[in-house]
Amino acid sequence: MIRASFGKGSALLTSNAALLSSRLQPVVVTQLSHTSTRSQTEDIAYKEMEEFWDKNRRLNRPLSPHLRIYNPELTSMLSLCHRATGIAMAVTVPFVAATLLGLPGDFSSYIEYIKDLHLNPAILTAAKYVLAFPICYHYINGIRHLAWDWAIGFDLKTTYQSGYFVMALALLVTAGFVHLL
Amino acid sequence: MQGKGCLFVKNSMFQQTLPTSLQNSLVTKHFSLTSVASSNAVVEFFRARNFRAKRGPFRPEEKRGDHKMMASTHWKIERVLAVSMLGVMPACLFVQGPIMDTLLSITVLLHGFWGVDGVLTDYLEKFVPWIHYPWYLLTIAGLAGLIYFNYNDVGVCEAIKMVWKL
Repeated sequence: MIRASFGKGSALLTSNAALLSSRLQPVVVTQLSHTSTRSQTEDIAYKEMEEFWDKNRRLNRPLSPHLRIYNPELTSMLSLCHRATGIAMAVTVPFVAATLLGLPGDFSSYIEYIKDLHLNPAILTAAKYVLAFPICYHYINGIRHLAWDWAIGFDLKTTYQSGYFVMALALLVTAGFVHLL
Repeated sequence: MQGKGCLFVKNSMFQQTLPTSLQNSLVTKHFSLTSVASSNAVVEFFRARNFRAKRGPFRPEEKRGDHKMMASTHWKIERVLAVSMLGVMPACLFVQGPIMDTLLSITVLLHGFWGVDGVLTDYLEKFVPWIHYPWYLLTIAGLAGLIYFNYNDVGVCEAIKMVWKL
């Protein structure tokens, strides 16, 4: 309301000034201990934000739909994949390392244990795909991300082309690691 | 609310059509003083518990917190590490040994730590402000585990080779 004064009459301005001056006093008195670096304008801004959200909650205003109405695009899905693979690896590595620290026996004994299970080779191949894909995809898309950080290839057409290329290359390299190494 | 291009609208179990009386009342300027429930189950879950997400930080001083390093410097260090990993990852295919084990452990853990830290700051910090501490602890535990593994056990490069030979 304070900022909507362009082109409106001075009556609105004076009423806003009255509101402003009426709000100033509680802010200065009650928040004195926190305002060492904050100006009064910022205090008012924060207070208005709080009041806006209090009103939203009180009226139980519905949220605009966002995730449900936006079609999945290559850009967003690849970005999601990058984050998901990154999180998966970043959480698994410390977790497995910390667990191995506590478990008895050395690593070879666990390898022997898996060998003694005599699993179907298809399961082992599938497991290798699951292990190899995150790192390959994250590495190759990581190059794409670093290129963006140097402002290279940011336009939409290049983003889409590089996106398709990255996904294809990641799948190829994963297959190469699983079957050739 | 029911658009043609929407992917999830018709089949989502959370999506309900608001009754026409409610749709009409939303169009008018006057909100009813009785409760208006949103069609989003997650929103209603938190609203029922008077939940308040933290808003902000907005200003650079708030974002910096207790430390003195500029955010841009930290960002540059993250990129330097990422670029170095571009070299380390292929190198570990050709060169193995204790040095490569240490290099891999440190780079992977550090890069993973900063990455997940960013995700926590983006999404979870506003709901659970103390979320950074468990993640810090897990990373330290992981570092301890990897140092132990590299020193007392076969080491990560050899371990990956053993797994791949299965």
